[in-house]
Amino acid sequence: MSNTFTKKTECVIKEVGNEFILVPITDNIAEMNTMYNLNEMGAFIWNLIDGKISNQEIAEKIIEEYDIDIETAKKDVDNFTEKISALLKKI
Amino acid sequence: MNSYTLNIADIIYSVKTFEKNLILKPEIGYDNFIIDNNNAKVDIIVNIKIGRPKIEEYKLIFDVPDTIEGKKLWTISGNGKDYFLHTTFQNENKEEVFAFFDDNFNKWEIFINVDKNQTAEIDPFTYPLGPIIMLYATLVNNGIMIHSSGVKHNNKSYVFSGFSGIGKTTISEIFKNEGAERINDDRLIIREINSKYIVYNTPMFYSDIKKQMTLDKIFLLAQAKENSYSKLKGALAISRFSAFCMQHNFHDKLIKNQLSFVIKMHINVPIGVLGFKPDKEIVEFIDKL
Repeated sequence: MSNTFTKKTECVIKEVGNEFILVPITDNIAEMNTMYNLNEMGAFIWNLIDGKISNQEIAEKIIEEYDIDIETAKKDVDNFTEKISALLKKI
Repeated sequence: MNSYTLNIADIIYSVKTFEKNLILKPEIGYDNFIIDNNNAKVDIIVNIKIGRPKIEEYKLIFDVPDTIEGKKLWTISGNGKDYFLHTTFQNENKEEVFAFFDDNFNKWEIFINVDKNQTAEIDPFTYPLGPIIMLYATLVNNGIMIHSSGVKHNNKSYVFSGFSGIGKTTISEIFKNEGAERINDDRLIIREINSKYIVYNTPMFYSDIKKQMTLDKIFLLAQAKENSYSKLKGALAISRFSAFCMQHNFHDKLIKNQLSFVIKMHINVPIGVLGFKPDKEIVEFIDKL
């Protein structure tokens, strides 16, 4: 069964050329330097995560936008959600 | 003194109290940043009062795990409309302080919890409150604050940043010995003024004159056996540089301002990783870049 995630924390996302920077709003000075660099695909996935859409459904949306197969898209979504797991909560 | 005006990085602070028993006494490091206030357009208003305000409706929103003598160094609480910073001045008297501000970060109402019937001498910019006021003021005035050293040599100005102990002071000392002017080796403000990026020193615990320079290059330091340089680009440049900026990411406006500033700056001012051997060869190496 495919995972569904919601965002645990609000973030600021800014575009730098064809990359993106994601900075979580934090409640603790220990995490104040946390910052993620995302590629275009990462930003695409991040913008879709809303607590309702599953990773499988995100992968299906990816293949509509990008020239990749569903298995690669699924792997990309799972890898991405694992990489930014600190910002996500599993539904 | 019951009022004074500060110019820090060309940001003007009006500091004032109407309390009869409160005397404002800036620390020595601020002396050279005090200006005549006749014609200055004020950017940041700081009013100081005596008392302990009501804070029941506020919730803790930003926590600092560090404690001194069992007390939190500082915290920020909010009520959805405005905020207050709670701290204890790190001075001899250890006064308790509640400093209120809102989303504009340009007006501070500071309550000092001392006996109203006794005369008290206070510097409202005592650590940690002063640097925090300066940080937020900088971020809403097209600037950033960064742990770094800065030097001007042969009409070129450089900022060196990096992790604690990596050699920020060492490299600025080497440049100074080779005739460079040192801006500061601990904390700098960078602002965009008329499409130029200006580096300023900030008040420290010791007396120093105000200094500024137009920034040419930023170096993130790495220790190395040989001198080397590698320019950073895009998101990597932004994130590597931002790691050394002072930031309290509890508010989206502060984060957005900081990111927007660094993104624009990195297009105009090269950011690179400098591997350096701590001897005077590094001066020539950088001058030739």
